[in-house]
Amino acid sequence: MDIREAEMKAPLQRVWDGMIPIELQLAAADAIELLASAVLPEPFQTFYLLVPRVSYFPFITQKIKEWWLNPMFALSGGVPGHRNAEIKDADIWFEYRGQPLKWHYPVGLLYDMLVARGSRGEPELPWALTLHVRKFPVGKLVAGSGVQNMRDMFMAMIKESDFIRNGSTKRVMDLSKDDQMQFLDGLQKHEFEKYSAIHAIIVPSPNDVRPMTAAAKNGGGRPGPKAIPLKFYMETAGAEESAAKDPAALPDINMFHVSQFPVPLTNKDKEGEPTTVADAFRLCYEISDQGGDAFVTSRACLSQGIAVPWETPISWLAENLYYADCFLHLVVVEVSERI
Amino acid sequence: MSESATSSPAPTSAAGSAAVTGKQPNKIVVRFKSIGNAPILKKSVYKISSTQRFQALIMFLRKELGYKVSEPLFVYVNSAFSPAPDETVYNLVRCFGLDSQLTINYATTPAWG
Repeated sequence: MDIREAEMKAPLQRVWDGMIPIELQLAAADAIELLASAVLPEPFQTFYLLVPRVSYFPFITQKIKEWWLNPMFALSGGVPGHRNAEIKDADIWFEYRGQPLKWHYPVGLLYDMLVARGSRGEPELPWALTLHVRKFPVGKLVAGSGVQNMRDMFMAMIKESDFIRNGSTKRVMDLSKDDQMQFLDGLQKHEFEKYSAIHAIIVPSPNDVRPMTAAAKNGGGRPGPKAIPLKFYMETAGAEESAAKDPAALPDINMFHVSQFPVPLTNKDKEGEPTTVADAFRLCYEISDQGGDAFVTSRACLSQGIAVPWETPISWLAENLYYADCFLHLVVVEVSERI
Repeated sequence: MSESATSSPAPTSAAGSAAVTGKQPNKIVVRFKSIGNAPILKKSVYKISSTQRFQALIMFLRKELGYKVSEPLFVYVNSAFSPAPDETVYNLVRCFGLDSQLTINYATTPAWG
């Protein structure tokens, strides 16, 4: 594909195509248990993988087993059916510099929270993670990682966004079993056509280029969404203080405050002008208008790895930068030491 | 899930700019409704701290019903979906509540896929 062709792609597909290169090491304690050695045999010491930003960690564990762990066991003389080397999907988890990664957050969101924010310069690429296949961190992560749980969790999330957008979960509930399976398979296997065909049913594009019916031309077209489903992830005061003391301090995922609010498309206080990202932030955190300006200008808002201007209409963002669950996930970080 | 993982940190606003006002209510009204064969609670309306996670609400419901962790219990919001256990009750009531009340449906078999 040449560059021009790539540029012509719709934003939804370009966001879909966004990948994060990941460099994986197997946790030493797990390697000892599985292979009786902390050092893995050549050439299995490190595993590299491109992971879609819009995807979730449980959807890549199958590839990791097939392409990395299973051949490693086979070549290191592991006995088939070896009890010690058995790996349950529900036990697999990923760690970034001491922190277990929430498996039900999109990969791109985790990267924006922990790496893009903490980089203060060149972001870390590839993203160096540790794979664990034992001792699931109970209490730190939602229990029950694994493909089926991720699919169930994703269906709940897509219903949540449907409810916020339309006031009911009818669009998702009305999907046939086949359509629902195609939607989930498309996400899990990262097949855009499968996913986007069903996505178009759940979230019809307002810029749909299909011929308009007479009713639509007369203004009787599809009603717009009631509200935009979005979540802000903002570092708490404690996190900012520790970052100020030690700029090299790692961001802590538990120090992010998550705020969710059904944001209307137009600003009631400003004669129906489009709601901006700054307006949405103020609504979400119930900030009065005056002081809010100073508050937001000292911070950057990251969406899909991009620092979006605060004056961007939220409806534009919602059409272009949402994740697979049709939520906008916006990471708010301090900018003083960045850029 | 342990209590330490379910507690919620305060937003920056609480300690940040004076212009940032914390209007978050302390308590949220939660209404529990049983589906199918699930036992009915003697008292169905409770107040729960708005900073609690959905997980805490599930644990509370299990305790009231006298259900062990091994016994199946499916918990839904608005007869439609099961939110992530680490979601805060405040976020849920703001997005899915009606008149600042959150309706929780519970069942012993899956009710909504």
